[in-house]
This record gives sequence, C-alpha cells and structure tokens, in this order.
Amino acid sequence: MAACGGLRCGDGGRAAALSVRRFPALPLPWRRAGAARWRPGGRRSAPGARRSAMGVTGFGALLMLLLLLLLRAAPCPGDSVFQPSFIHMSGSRVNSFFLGNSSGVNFSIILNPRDAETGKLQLANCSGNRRAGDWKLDVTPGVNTSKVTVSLSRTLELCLPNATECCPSPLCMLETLQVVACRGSVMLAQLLIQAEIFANSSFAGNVSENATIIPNQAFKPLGSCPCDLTAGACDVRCCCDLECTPDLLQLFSESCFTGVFGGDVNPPFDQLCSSQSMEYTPEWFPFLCVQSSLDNTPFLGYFYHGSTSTPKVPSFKIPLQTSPGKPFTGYREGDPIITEEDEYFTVPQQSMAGQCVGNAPVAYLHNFDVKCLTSLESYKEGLPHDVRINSGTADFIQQNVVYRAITDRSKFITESENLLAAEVLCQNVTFAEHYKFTWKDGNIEQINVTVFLGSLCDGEILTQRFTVEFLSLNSTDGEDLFENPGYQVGKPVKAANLNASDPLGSLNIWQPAGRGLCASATYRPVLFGVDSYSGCILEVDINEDCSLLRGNVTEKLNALIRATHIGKRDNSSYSDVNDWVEIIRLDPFSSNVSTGGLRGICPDIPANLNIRIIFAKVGAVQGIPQQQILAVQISYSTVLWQFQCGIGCKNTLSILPITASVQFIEVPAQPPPPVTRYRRIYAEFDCNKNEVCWPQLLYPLTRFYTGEPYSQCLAKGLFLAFLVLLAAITSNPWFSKLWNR
Amino acid sequence: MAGVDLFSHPALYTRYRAGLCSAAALALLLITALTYVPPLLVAYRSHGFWLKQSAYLEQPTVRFRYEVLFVATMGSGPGSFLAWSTFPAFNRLQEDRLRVPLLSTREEDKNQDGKMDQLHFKLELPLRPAEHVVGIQLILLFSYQLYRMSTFVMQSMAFLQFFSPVPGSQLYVNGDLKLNQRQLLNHCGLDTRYNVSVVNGTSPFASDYDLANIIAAYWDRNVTTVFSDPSPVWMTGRATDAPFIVNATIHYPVEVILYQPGFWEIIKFAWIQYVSILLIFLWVFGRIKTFLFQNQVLTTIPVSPVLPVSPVLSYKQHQS
Repeated sequence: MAACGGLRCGDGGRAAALSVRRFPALPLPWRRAGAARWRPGGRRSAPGARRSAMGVTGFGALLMLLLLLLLRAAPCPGDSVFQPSFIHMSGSRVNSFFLGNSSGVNFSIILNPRDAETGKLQLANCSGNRRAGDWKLDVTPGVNTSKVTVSLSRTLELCLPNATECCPSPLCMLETLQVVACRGSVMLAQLLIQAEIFANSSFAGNVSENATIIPNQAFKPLGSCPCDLTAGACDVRCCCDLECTPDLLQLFSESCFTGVFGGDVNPPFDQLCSSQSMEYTPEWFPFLCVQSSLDNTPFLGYFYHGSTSTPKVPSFKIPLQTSPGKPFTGYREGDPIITEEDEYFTVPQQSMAGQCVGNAPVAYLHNFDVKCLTSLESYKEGLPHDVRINSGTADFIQQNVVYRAITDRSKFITESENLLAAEVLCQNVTFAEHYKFTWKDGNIEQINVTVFLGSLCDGEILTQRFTVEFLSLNSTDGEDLFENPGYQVGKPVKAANLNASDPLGSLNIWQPAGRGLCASATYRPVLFGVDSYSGCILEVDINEDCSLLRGNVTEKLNALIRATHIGKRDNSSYSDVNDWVEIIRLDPFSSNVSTGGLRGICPDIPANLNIRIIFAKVGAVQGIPQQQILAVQISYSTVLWQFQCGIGCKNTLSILPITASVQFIEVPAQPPPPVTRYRRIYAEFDCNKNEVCWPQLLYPLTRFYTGEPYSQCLAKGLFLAFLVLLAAITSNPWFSKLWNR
Repeated sequence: MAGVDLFSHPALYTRYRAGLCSAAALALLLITALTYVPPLLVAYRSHGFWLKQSAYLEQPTVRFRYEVLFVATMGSGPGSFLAWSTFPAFNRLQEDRLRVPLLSTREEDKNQDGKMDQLHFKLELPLRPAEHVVGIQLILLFSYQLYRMSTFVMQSMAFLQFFSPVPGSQLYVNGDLKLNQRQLLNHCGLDTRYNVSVVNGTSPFASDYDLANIIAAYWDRNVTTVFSDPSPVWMTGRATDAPFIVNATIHYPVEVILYQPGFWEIIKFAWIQYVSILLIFLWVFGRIKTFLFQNQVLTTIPVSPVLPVSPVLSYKQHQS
C-alpha cells in the first residue's frame, strides 16, 4: 500500500460527486491577462489573492493560474480516500465524499498549504480544525461514505449602497485549501481544493418597476449604448456602459467595442462637410456637402419601420377592479346606482344558471322581478335600508321603507323536511322587497321600498322575491310616448265591451297551475303575435247531465272572452267605434241528440275554443312595421265525452280537458298581384324558388351579389364590357377602313 | 347605296357588300346575336354558371385568452354552488360562494407549424369533505383568427356543461373547437365584427353574467365556435380531501371555411364555361354564315379580288 493515489484507491463509479457551481466563463483576453499577472509561486501569492472581496458589479474579476501541485504519497491505512480528491472550485460551496469508516476520524481544513518560497505543497499535519479563514468544513457522516462540504462563509455579492458584507472591489477569491482526514495523528486521506471564485456578478439589487421608456425611433437613436446589455451591471468591453466603474473600465479600456455597437451611435456620414478625412471622397465633395450636427444623422430612423408593437400574448391577468364612479351629471340608462359611500346599491338578483347573488348592483332604468331560494342557514341580510342613495346630482336621498308582515306564508315557504315543532329554530327574515324608484331626467327623485317580513324556520326553503321598478315622474300617460300606433309583438291584445257601460274588456287564455284543474287556473292575456295554446282539466261526474255539462264548459270558455270588440291598434280609443273590430262568434252546433239515457257519454261538448286573429302590416313608423288587427273569429270544436274507466272501477269522476288556442294569421294588406300559372309552376323570376332564375342571369352585376360593393362590381363589369366592345369594333372589317380613311 | 364590307373570309378573300339596312346586314346581326347570346343562356341555365360560394381549408390561429368563467353546482339546495372567473366583477358578486381553483393550462403546437393545435386545460376546485359536485358549467374564451382569404378576427367561446345525478370527482372532456358559420365570409378585407368579448367582464351587473344572456348574445352572431365533445367522461368516487378536477383537451382543427368569391373569381369561372360553349356556336354559325354568303341566299355584291394566274400580276393590277 505504498502510494494510495486518490483515483486509484477510490471506487470511481460508486460515489463520484463533484458539485461545483459554475460562473460564466470570461472572455479569453482576461484569462491571458490574469495569467500574466500571476506567476506560480510568485511573491503575490496568498495576500495578493486576498485582496478579494468587494464588487460593485458584474463580472469584473481577477484571474489566476495555480501551480499544479503534486499529491504527495501519504500513508493510507485501509481504503480511506476522498473522492474526488482534487477539486477546482469556482462556486462558494464544494462537495466531496470521504470513503471509508469515518468513526474517530477528524476532518480539518488547512488554508494555503503551500510553501511560500518553493511553491510546493506543504506536508499536511493533523493539527488543523474545521475553520480556516473564511472557509468552513462540514461533514455529514454516513455508513461508509461521509459527505464533506467546504463552503465559503462570506458572500461575494457586489456592494450595494447599504450592504455591509460584500466585496469592496471587483475581485475574486484565489486560494488553495487542503482538507485532511486524520485518525488521531495519522493522516488517512487528503483533499486538495483549488478555489477560484469571482465576485458574484449576478444582479441582486431591486429591479425597478418602471419600464424603460423607449424613445421615438424616428427622432432619436433607440439606444445610446447598444452594448449595454445587462441592466444594473457592467457589461464587459462596453465602455459606454454607465454602470462600469473606473476600476472596471481600466481592466478593459484597451479593448472596447467599437462602432455603433460600442456606443458610437451617430457615426459621421459621407455627406457631412466635416468628414473630409474619410478615404472615400466623392467627386462632388466640397461643393454639395451638408453642414449639420451629428445628431441629425441619416442613420436616424434607419431601422424604424413604423410603429411596431410586440404581440400581446394572453396570460392569466386579473385586471384591477375598478371602483364605481361617482355620477355628477346624472344617471344614464344602465349606470349602476351608487350609495352615499360610493358603493353599489345592491339587491339580490339571479345570475349564471339561475343562482342568486346577493350583492348585485342595480342598473338605472332596468326593471327586474326575481325569485331567490334561500334557507335559514344560507339566509343573508341584504343592504340595510337606511343607506342613502346618490340621486345622480351628488345629493343623497333616503329610502322610504314600509315594513309589512307577510300574511300568507305558504306562498313563500316550501317545507323540505318536517321537524318537531319544539326544536325548530325560527328567525324573522325578509320575504319580499319591492323597490320603486321614481326618476326624472337622469335623477332619482324618490325611492319607495316595501319590505315583507315573516318568520323562517329551520328546514324550510323560502322563496324570496325582489322587484325593482323604475317609474317615470312625468309620463303618466305612457302610451303617448310610444309613437307606433300599431301592435307590437308581445303586447296584450286590446279588448272592449263597447255596448256595456264599462267598456274595458279582456281576452284571456288560461294559465294552468298545480294539477291543472280549471278551478285553480288563472288567466293570462292574449299577447299579440304569439300563438298560444292552453287548457285545463274539468272533473266530470259519471252522472253528469249532458246539457248541464255543455253549459258548464261553455261558461268556462266564455269566461276567457269578456269582450265584444277587439282593438284594431294598440291605441284604439274606446269612444271611436271605427277603432274596433267586432268578434265574429261561430257558436257551437247545439245538438239535441239524446244519448238514450246512457250514462257517462255526452256528444258534442264544445271543449275547444279557437281564437283566430287576422292581422296585416299596414305601414311602417320609423322603420318599424305597423300591424293592425283586421278580424277576430271565435269558434268551438266539439268532442265526445265518455266516462273513461275500466270494469269495476270505483271512482265516479272522470276528466274532460278543455282547451283554448290563439292563432295569429298574417294576411297581406293589399291582395297580391295575380301570378300566372306559368310563373307559378316554373318560377322563372322567383330566385328563392329557382336557382337559375332570370334576374340573376348577370349575377355579379346584380344586387344579389353581396361579396363586393355594387359600385365596384358595376365598374369592373363596365370595364370588361368596354374591352369586349373595343375588341369587337376593331376586329370588324369596316373598322379598319374607317380608320384608314 | 354606300356599300360596306360586311363579311370576308380568308379562304377566298371574297368580300360581300351590301347596305347597312339590307336584309344581309340584319341577318348578320341576327347571326352574331345567336352566336354570342345562347352560349350564355346555355351555360347559365344548366346550373353552376356563377360561382356563388367557394370553400378553402385553413387551420385557424386560436389562442386561449386565459379568461374563464366557472360555476359548479353542489346540489339542489338553495345557494349550493361555487363560482369563480377571471373577471373580478363576477367574483365580487359571489361573496362566500367564491372558490378559487387551481388552473393549469398549456397550449401545444404539435406539428411545429407555428399554430397552436390543442389546449390542455385542468381546473382543480378545492372542496370541503362534505361538498359534492353534481354539475359544472364552464366558459373558456378564445381568440380566433383566420387569414387565408379575408382576415377574420373574433373572440369566441367554448361552453362546457355537464350535470350528473351522481356526485363526481372529475370531468374529462376531449373535443374540437369547431367553427360554426351561418354566413359566408368575405373573400378579402378585415372582418372584426365579432372581435368583442363574449362576456362583458367589466360590467358589475348580475345580468351580464347570466349564462342564458351570454349564450343568447353569443348565438346572435353569424360566426361562432362550438365546443363539440360527444363523449364527456364523468368520474365518480372523490376522495374526501381531493379536489374536483375538470380535465379538458380542446383541439383546434383545420376548418373548411365557406366564403363568397370576389368579382374576378366569379367572372373567371363563368368565362371558362362560357367560352367552351361559345366555341361550338362560333364554329356552327361560321359555317352557316359562309353558306349564306357564298350561295347568295342573302343578296350581296361579292367583291372577289380578280383571281390572278400569278400573284405578281395581281399585285400589278392592284397597284395600277
């Protein structure tokens, strides 16, 4: 076991670990310069290197070359060895592994183990400890492998104005370390570390939040120093970089970048009178030269190709939430209503997929009527009613609140589960809120709130109702505002009893509810233009008299039509008979067919009511067609009612569905011109029915073609026609004769 | 009557002279009309003469806009939902129903052609052990661009919705973001009609986040995108501490885009058809014309250059 060289003894494949943080390599000239300055074993060995520490910025550092030191053969009991046993260190921490039994082994670190005069490695002894200079030794013992970590205990950060521990000058550490492992006074293994660490050039200061303002490239050079590539740090060889200190500059002042890249952004140009010294001189030179300052260079804007912007790459950006603005000039339609504290005035509303959200702002002039489900555990009190509201002119109005107790709880409450009354927890909550805003010219004049309170108990589901209504102060007769006198789709059809003292009539259909029985059905007005069908179920006893049943059904159907006349227009006046059309009633065929005393069968029950409304477009007001009802016809269709029950059935009630249907039929206001049979069959002129219709013979030149504006197509078509005509004329035999004449 | 050369044919160099109002002139006019007009009628009436629409293939430039609106339904009870979106006004409305999920998205350009091919979207909604998700509604917003014919730029939407009677742990969807065209696109120009946000994210009002309103406004558009996933997978069995996961892969497929051709394209295709039919008519009526004039069916004065024995003589005569 004579020479136990590290790599020979160690099991290279087992635990070769070298963890060194690398810094960017410096440009070659530096290495050479550093090499020249440093002579192996020269006078400036250790103390010179310890000039270390400081560093304003960057890269600036010193380089040195170390003498390759020969490892002395050391006594090597057992197989103990450092792996690797020689490390070139350029980071602040280095790891090695001590292979072998580490029990009772002392690790120590020795700084500069070289002999100052000969430059040779001194014989290591076991007298050191775990600290030497700025170096620290850590050992993590293992079974057969101990991890040895040598780290620099000081930082090599560049100096910021307030930093205390930093490099005062741009330098590097250059040291030789030796780690020895001893058992008692016997040296087991040694590790040689050659440390060459540059001041940490990575920028660690605060990055300014302000974006660099890019000057307008049309008038100013984009950058005055193009080689200044690193913000807040000195770029090597960039002599125009303002971040380079004179210390750093003198390191590379001989090899600055030249030309535009080096900061000479306004080079003298050919046309300049002062640039006579250039080797290339045009023949016109002294006469047509330009007297100008260098700032006015022709290279200005040379790389500027109009305003370009970087493409916006989308990303998750949550924009800042904007607070509601304060209206001073009054509200406009759709503006959120603001409270005194400049917060939104909120009323629960439905959103998303029907779920209610509590603090939803109210938009000016937007009415709504929502129902929200809540239970006691999810119940939340809304905005308090003493909140004052910005009226639109920066003064505040109080809500006029009327509290009422709910009378019929069952309309609002659905009990989901029955709990014992003793343990039920109840609370007084809001059942409904009705807001009435009175407005005038963008200002809210008054707010009337009706709040219905009731008690909600645990396990019940409450249907809260919230309505917001905006009432105009100056439009009591709202119909006059609406200028189109015709019917609009979705408006109720006007009905009247012109013969009665009270002319107000109604034309309704059923709104079935619950089981759909006629007894529980309510009415809903017939809306113009909306074809509807509705019905309800009549329960008929087996012993029902047929004529009584007919009368009953007819009475129920007639209850829908409480009118003799229907308004032609939406604004039909009750005093003018000409504004109304009489309802044409086709009464049901009254049969007196006897069923011969058979029970449970009734023929000719007028169970279906058909309302046919004929309307036409009679004109247009401001582009909106004006629609007018021309005639209304009511007819009945009869059914045969039969008691439906199997043999031996016990119940004595059967059902009879009765229905009402409304149909709107549009007719042309004027009878259309008669169409000949040829036209009807072949549709030569109807382009909707015939692909090769005659009006589209010259398709690109007609209005049917919408790909390009008609004027452009016409121009192109005329141009083509001109060319063809020119060709035709010039090719004709008598044209040349005419031409030669 | 001043005679005009009405017709000549190169074979015999015979010129036929007649008055401008003579029968021969009228017949010639008629023949000319019959030569040029019927091919147009034949071409038109046999369908497909004018190119009214055309199609091209393009993979759209689709980018996820990183705008999401998410509603998870937790059950049938009142207020049992969780919601979140990238719109702060929406989040403000939710109060304690707001639950911020973990989103991870990645757009992938599989064939390295510079256009994104698919989006991997994963949303992890944290849940309390007692909470169960029975349905989700998710809106993802995209910017959608076409360049080949007209430059068409729009903001579009992918709407995912799934409800299940069984509480789930994960929803896996994988489908295409397809273009839905109700209208032909232009053949040139810039079309930014629909380059407006699908969801008005700056509005504070609840009605602007009503899904029915959003969908209604979106489907008013003539050009939309649709997320088509015929087979969503709803996975059940959530561990108590596990989040609910929406795992979506959205492909951006190559689309067949219908457009309205421009004037010259229409004319070009019409011209091809017209001329091919016209050639037949030219040949037929050329023969007829020759026959009519040669055989003096129409009274004209044939001026035939004196057919010389030698061309030299003919020249001399002409010059003299």
